[in-house]
Amino acid sequence: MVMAALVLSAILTISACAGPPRFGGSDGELTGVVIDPPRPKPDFTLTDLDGDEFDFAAETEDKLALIYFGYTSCPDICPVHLAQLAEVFDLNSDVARESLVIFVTVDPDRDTPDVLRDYLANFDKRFIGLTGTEAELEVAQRAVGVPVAFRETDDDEYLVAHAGQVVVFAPDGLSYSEYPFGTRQSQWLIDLPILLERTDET
Amino acid sequence: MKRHLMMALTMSLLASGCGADDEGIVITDARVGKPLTANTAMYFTATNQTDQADRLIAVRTDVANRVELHISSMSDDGVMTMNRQTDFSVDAGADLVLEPGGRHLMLLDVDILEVGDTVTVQVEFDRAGTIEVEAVVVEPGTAGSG
Repeated sequence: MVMAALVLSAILTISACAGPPRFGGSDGELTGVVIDPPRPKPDFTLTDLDGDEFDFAAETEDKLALIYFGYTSCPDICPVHLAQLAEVFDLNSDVARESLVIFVTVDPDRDTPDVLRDYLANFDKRFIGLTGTEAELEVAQRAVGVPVAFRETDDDEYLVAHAGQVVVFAPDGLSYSEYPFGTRQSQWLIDLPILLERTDET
Repeated sequence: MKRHLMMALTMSLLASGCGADDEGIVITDARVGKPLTANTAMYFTATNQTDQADRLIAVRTDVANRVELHISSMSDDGVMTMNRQTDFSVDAGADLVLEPGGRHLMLLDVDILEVGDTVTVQVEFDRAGTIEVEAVVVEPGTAGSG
């Protein structure tokens, strides 16, 4: 009995000393899906919610740019990414100040500028909404390197199949990693500060 | 006397451990993302405490015109799709876990709901019948476990 208690307490002690759980990417490594070699930032132009042209490369120059293609009637996937990034903005003011979170609709018929603005304001008013014609949106998706979205059904409440990953471009203009659905909050908090440091000067 | 007491205690412990057969299906952790458009998603865990497999076949709620059973999945090239299902099966003694990015319920033409509201939902199983649960409305995108 005493022996059993000793063994048990030894086990408890060992497990208590194992330290906090570690998510991959120790020693300053990225935890996202690494893009090797890093992909250069593409050129494409879409339209912002005021109806002005948004030149992706020019508008995001020297910034950490996070781009995601989704739609506001997406109930399951899109809100998760946006809620996570809104929390990162709350927790890390450096990342919030130096980052642009860009949500590009792949459902421009239903996602009018007003719909997009209201939707994004539920997460963080700093998030940028972009739209475009079907052709412009296809060009943008191909340029960023994600699969092109398509309508899954033809009814009025149609669903849109779309890329699940957020693609991130560091301030130096390169994309080192992307973040599929299922990315944990802790991964964003590890990776975004690392990527923020990747500027032209380093 | 003492021995009888011990036996009775043991028996009652055993009974509570094995007596799950008649407790049916228990639904916990029911939550709905605050709707930002005309639809939203609902999640919960249904624990099948019976000794027979069952199927979730329909869900109704006064706050939505229609509730569909969906599975989100990711293709090899990274496209997220949602596919409508006719039922969700749950084995005997197993959990049916509805969660973001997987099996979930899609509420269509849904009322305006605020965080903290509760929604009454009727969940119908093929064998266990209809179970009524209260789902709580949570911030959009935060219905997952992490």
